[in-house]
Amino acid sequence: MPTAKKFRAVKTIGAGIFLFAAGWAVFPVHAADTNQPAGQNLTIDRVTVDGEAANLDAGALNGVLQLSPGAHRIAFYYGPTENATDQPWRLRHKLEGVDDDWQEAGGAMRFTVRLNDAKNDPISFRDFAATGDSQGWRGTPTNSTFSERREVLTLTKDVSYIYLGLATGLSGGRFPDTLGMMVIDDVRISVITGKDESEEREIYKCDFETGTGLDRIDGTPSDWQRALRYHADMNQVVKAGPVFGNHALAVLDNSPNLITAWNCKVPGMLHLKSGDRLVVRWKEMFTVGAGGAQTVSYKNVPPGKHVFRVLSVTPLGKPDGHETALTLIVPKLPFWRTPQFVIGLIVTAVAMFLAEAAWLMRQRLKRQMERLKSQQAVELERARIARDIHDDLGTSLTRIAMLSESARETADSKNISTIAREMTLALDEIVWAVNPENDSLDGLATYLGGYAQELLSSAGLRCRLDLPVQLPDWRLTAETRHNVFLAFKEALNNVLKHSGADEVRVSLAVEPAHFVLSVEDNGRGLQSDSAGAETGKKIGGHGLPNMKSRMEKIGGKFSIVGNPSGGATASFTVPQNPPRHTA
Amino acid sequence: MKPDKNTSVPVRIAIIEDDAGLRGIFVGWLANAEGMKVISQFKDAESALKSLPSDPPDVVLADINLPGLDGIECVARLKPEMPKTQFMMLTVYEDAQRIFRALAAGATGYLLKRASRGELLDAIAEVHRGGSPMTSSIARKVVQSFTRDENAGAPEAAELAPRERQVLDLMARGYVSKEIGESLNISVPTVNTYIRRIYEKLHVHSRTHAVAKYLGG
Repeated sequence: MPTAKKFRAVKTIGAGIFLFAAGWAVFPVHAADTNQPAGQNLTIDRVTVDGEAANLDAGALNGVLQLSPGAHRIAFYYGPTENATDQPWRLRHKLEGVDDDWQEAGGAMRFTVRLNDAKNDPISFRDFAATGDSQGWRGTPTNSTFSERREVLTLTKDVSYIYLGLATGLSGGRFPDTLGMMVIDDVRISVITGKDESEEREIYKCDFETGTGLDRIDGTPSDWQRALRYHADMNQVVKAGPVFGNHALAVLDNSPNLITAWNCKVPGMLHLKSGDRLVVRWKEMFTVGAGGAQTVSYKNVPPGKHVFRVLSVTPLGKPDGHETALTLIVPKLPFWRTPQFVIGLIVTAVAMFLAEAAWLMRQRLKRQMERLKSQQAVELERARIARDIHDDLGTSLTRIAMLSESARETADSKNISTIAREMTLALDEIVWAVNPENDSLDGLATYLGGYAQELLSSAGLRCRLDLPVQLPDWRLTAETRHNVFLAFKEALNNVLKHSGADEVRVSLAVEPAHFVLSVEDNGRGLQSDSAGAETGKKIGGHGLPNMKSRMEKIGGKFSIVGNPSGGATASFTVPQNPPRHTA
Repeated sequence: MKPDKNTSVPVRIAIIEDDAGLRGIFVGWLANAEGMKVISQFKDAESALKSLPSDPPDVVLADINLPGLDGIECVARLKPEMPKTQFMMLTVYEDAQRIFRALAAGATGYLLKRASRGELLDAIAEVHRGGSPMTSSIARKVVQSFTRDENAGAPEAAELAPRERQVLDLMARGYVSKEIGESLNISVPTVNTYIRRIYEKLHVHSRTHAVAKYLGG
């Protein structure tokens, strides 16, 4: 829009010239603040909703933009209408329902302090920005009151020269569209050396009451000079503040692409030391904004009817009669699509899931506890039964056996003694099977080995044991142990009764998930009868189905094979963890 | 000149058995036995502990399952005070684990209560002679015990000599004394001597173990 800006610059010069003739008493721009012709020179030319451009076809829109339900991220692009005959000045905006007051999109003016060393080379630069309206701004300098400022600068190097400045914008123009006015008065600089705050020495003071032609638009205060002067009214001494006739220094930016400034070299060579503190005081009033094309974006515009308004004001902040607006209608999300509801739903779902999980866990723990408890109870009961059998029944039977032997020897007493001994032997087996202390693979191996040795050696057969010294710490149920023992016993008895062997080899081999117990004899083997095919039947007659069913009960396997060198081997394969019975 | 213990000097025997009936039968059996003499009988370990050390017998028959202090504890306390006395455990039930513990505590043999009178007398005589009965189950437990401690760095005193180790291994594999003698080409009494030494080392071994435990080792 270069043409538009050029046009406005021309207009401003005109106003300035006119007011220069009218004298200083009325601030020149004031005239321009009024009597602006109303007309559509402002436009909101682009709106994006969640990153997507909205269709702003005026006819269809009718000034109302209907959005989809829910919160949105909305950006408004607004500015002067292209080729409008009457360009807007500073622009303010407000989204009703979101902004409490008019907002300004930018612009800044500055009071600056530059410190140079003895060679007059720069050491540091500080600027104190003014944006928006100062607290006491009432539309014109004479109506308004100053705010006091005090800034302390700690020197990091020795300082010899100080330069002050008042500028509409920085060179290079970070805010080229700045529009407005900044006025300063009563600039004072003092120095504090050492720690004592009260020892403050004033080194410069300027109240803008001395100089040449102060009451004229081109008047110049002592020590100060103009820089970047484009128009007479851009940097001038003005009457400002409630004290009548008080002069102050002003910069005015009434042209978007021009800047201006006042500069001051604090007189004399100073001798400020590193570590000294520089106290800079001044009074200020300002109204600062920006013109030109602007963008503002809002995150999370809530549901409802919102009016986005753009207002054009003069450089001094007075509405000039130009305004435009766009109504947004953001429907509420149906309750089930609101973030609150969705979050609530998720929270509820998670909570329910956790509650369910916790309940299931508790149930499982409870069941586990119950199982453990009952298992423990069963074990205690088994131990008690074992102890009782051992203590009472065992001792009684022993006494019977011993007494019958001590008695006068008759056939009957001998029989009684034998039966009683057989009973204690049988009891041994029951006690062993019942006692939970034996619920291990090692317990089983030890017992089977001892049993085989006793049985075989008393029958005059050699017994050879091949049982690993160290066995895995497997826990075997009483049921497994009992079935293995009975099957093993049957195998040994088969050997004793039918094989004619003189040596039996008992071995145990451990595999990852099972163990194999073998009973190998050097007897006649399975081919003892003429018909090999009949052997199964024959062996079956010797308890093969029994052994088989005992193994099946505990999820194991039974096999019997003839050895090439004669004899036979009965094998019992027993899983570490028997299948669970659905009892 | 070796006096024949069986005839000249009777084997002095003490019995610790809580069941009065059984105790009476044992005493009865031994009373009629030649070369054996029951010098004292006790119904529990506590009373035996009080009286026995002042006049140690040759052989003590101790029930494993006693009320109060059990037979294992009883042997563990008495054996160090009466090192020459042989302890033979009596048990109704052939529980390898408990028998092994009794043997480790200081016993040199055990007898099932269902044994006949003849078996009892033979066992006492053998223990007194210096022999020690051992079954494959017990041998297995002894092997396990020594193996465990070898792995954990056993004290030297408790280590088995190679011959003792051979005897023990064969015993654990089901060989009886006679078969061991045949396969190692030694006499049965020699086999029994080895077994006795194995028992003695087991005692030392378990005592060292107990001390180590006591010292927090």
